[in-house]
Amino acid sequence: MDLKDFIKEIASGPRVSGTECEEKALSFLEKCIENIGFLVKRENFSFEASIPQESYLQVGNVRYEVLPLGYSKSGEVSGDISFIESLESDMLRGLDGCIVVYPDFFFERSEYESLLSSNIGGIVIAPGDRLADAPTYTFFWERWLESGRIVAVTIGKRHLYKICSGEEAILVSRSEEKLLMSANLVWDTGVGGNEDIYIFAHHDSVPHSWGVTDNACGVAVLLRVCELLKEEHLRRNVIFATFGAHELRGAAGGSRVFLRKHLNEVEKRGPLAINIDVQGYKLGLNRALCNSQ
Amino acid sequence: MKYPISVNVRSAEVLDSFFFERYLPTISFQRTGYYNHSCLGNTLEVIDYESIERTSRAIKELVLEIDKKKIEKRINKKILREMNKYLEFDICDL
Repeated sequence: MDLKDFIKEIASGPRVSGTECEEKALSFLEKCIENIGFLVKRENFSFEASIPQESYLQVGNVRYEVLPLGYSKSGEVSGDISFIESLESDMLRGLDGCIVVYPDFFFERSEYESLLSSNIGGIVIAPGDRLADAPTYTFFWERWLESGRIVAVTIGKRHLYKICSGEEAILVSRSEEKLLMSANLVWDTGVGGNEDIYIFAHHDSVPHSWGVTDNACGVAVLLRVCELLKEEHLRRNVIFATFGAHELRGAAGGSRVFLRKHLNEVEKRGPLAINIDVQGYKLGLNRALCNSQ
Repeated sequence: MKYPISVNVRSAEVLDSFFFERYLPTISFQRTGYYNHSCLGNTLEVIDYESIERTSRAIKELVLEIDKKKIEKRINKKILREMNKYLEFDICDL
């Protein structure tokens, strides 16, 4: 497998789960896996996703395009703009009903907690120049947004220079719940024995993104491992999988579907799982995380 | 192994491994560094192909090493409890 050609093809556009682009990526992956010499099975599943609709921040007569965060409730908030540098509770005091603008997206845990207990009207985060430069989910966002009163969006950072604290604004965030189809790809080395080692990577990307490092390069690692292990004589079976619906609402959807479907085998036969998520960044450092002993 | 593995590192985000960790020991391989979903981390120019090859070989080595041994499944319940505090859904909630 030529890594450059593989990544160029798989990351030729967004691979948002439930779209034709994911289907194209899946077909390409199936061909690559078959070319390595394995029989691959597609396991389809449906999932609910929150699809962004027309959303904007209106200040005076000017409308700025915004993108609802993954778990943002649809809604409309009117209030004063308030720029803040930190989301600690001291900074949020006195901002009830305001549209808070936070020109970043890195949060300490305590800041999430203070957001949860605040009475702000909505939040606009601006991590970068593009709308999608923000994580689509975290545990904290989900908890906070599902409290049902917060409208949360991202905005391109360049727009912030045109907006001032104290200006009256309207923040409109609209998303639509849709039932979409995605799939996991599953294949194995077919060795007998009583145990399976699981190795997996998600293949989808966030909306508006090519997902090169997250996770086209991760899938490239997965397939390369598959190629390398094909030459080895292992005692244990190795089960490989690529997961869909990792990046959308109901995060890590594909892996949860996989576990639900194969839980008996995973519990009985699985001594170890290896997850590959975010790879290939030129200036990055390798690390392996292990929460188990 | 030449590849450093940090044990007991908590992940704040929903990695797929989080769900697997409930049932069996799970290792997540990541390459860190500042990146955005649609900017820095998402053009072909930012890729270090060598790192992909090295990580692939490291995982292969790990699998070969594991394959020779008997593995005792031990889940770190304390860390799982801590992480579960922030988890609002489970594998059945899709």
